Amino acid sequence: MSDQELQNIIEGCIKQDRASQKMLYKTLYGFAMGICLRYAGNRYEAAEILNSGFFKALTNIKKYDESRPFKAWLGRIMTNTAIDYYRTNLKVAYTEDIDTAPEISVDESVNAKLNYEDLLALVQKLPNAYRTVFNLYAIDGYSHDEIAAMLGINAGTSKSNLHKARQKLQQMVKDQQGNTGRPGTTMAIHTMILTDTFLKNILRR
Amino acid sequence: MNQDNELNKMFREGLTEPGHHAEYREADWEALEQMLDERQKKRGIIILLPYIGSVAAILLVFFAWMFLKPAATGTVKPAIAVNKPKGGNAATNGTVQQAVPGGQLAANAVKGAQNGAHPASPKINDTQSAQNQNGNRIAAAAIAGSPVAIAVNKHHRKGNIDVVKHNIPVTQAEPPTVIAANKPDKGSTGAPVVTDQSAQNGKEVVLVTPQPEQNNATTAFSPQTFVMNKPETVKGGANADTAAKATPQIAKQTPKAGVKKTVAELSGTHFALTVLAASNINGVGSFAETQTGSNIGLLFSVGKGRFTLSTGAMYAKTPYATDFSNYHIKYQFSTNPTTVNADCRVLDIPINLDYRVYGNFKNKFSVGTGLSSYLMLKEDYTYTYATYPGGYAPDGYSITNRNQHYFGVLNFDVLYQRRLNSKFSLDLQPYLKLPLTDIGYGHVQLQTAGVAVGLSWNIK
Repeated sequence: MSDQELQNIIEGCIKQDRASQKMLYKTLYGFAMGICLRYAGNRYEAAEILNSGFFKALTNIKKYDESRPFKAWLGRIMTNTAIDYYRTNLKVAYTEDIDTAPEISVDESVNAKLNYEDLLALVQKLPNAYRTVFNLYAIDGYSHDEIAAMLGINAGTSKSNLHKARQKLQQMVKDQQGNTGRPGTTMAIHTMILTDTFLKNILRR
Repeated sequence: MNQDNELNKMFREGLTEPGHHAEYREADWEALEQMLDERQKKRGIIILLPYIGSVAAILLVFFAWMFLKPAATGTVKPAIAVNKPKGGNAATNGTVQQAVPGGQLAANAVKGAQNGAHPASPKINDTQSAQNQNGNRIAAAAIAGSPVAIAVNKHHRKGNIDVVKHNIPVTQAEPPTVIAANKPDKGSTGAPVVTDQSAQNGKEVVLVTPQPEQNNATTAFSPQTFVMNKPETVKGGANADTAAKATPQIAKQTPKAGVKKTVAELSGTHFALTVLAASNINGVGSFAETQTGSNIGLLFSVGKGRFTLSTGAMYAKTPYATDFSNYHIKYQFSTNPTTVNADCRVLDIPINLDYRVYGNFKNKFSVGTGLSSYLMLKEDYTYTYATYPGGYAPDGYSITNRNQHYFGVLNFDVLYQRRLNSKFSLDLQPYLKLPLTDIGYGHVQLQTAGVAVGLSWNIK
């Protein structure tokens, strides 16, 4: 989709045109869901975050500065919505996990080549607090000071959570390598099946 | 460190590859569409709420003014002057004149009345005379449209000494006053107003009475006026003396009873539930820049004497806009925004003490103060930049249930209550809320002023 087409859709959304809103949703669904899946514990929670984020974007689209990339604006909304979604859990997790997480040896290098589903499954297995900091720092590129301000925590806590997130990820990668000849594949498939089953159950209610 | 970077790189590249976008699901869109539809419904109500509140407040003020303005502004002067009979002996003069200053109806004395005939003066309207079976005369003068003028002449015939005798104390007992009270009501015109049904003793009694119901407002508190509310109260009027004496006593008791009732009701312990809705303005540091909000809630109040303690919960929509210099957060912006727009949902839990400065049976005015606790349910902040900022520049920030300010807001209010009936009253309450602490995620000096309109259920 060209920039001009996207601009036309955005103008329709500003007028609260439902067809334009759906078009925008369909167009950017994959991009936005990719962010939400990283921050969420599963697909169902990711869908909730996605819709909350789109809801904010569509109801505040008049505030969008057209001189800036729309995808970046939407991405920040998704990130903030994901942080808000887990904020209560994040606080609990910080107090519980910082000092109790076991130390894991990290002397083995991580050189496994994992596909998207494997990586996503590993990240989603992290506790909320670790996953959030890992996403913000390692993938989205925020500094610890920025993360601290966004989450309302100390920069030291952010560093600590990042460190423990990495330890857990390395351990999980190592476990996968030990369990299967081809790291990650089995677990990724298993996680997807579980997630889809869970979603189907929810949607049937 | 290298391992860390390697791990970061692996996840960053793997999870942000453009080709791995999740597949679109129609069910997700349907859920979002439902959220958008619900918002539109709610928005319609929220948009109208401040306007509805404002209109209700204006109407209440108007009706309050209507009810509170003086009921008899210059049209009625209830006091009636009574001219003493010349020579100080009504019996001998046989004429009692009651004239009202400025009265429109100048009634002439009825003179030369014959037995069984009562030639009312042509200038006296609606004066009725009747003769009872014993030939005694009962004259009743009613007021003819005019509120004031009464003239009653009594002509005493020979052989009717008793009547004369008993008429004297009427004028002597309360010379500056009147037996009758007037009412400028059209309804009284032509109505046969009074009769003394006690002519059994052959005594002539002259009474002038008003329509009882029409009398209270203008005469009840006049020290110069005696109100005879009901003719029945002059029982035993067979004796004119008794009637004459009884009349002022009854009249004096009437307003006192009302006052006692009012005082009793106002001084007792009472409980009430109030539903309030308000429209307000919010500003930071001052009201130079304001945004309009609204709130709705339920209050419970306990009153004793002049004091009323009230508490409850108010759900408030509190938007405001402020310069970034008033907004204090830990986060360090790479480029500071110029303004911050906030939209907060607040649960306001007030505890207020009101003191009644004026009150009667219908209307009460109170002033009050107290403290409010703000529970910040949801805070949405939007940042506006003067120029396109480089680097990361957040457009906004949202948090829920993060800030609570217990007793962090000082309340002032003025409360006007208009009683509708024994159970319900209407409230009009202008108020001001000043912060004792910094409010919300932005630590702003948020102040609010507004007018609340409420309906109170007086439980006891």
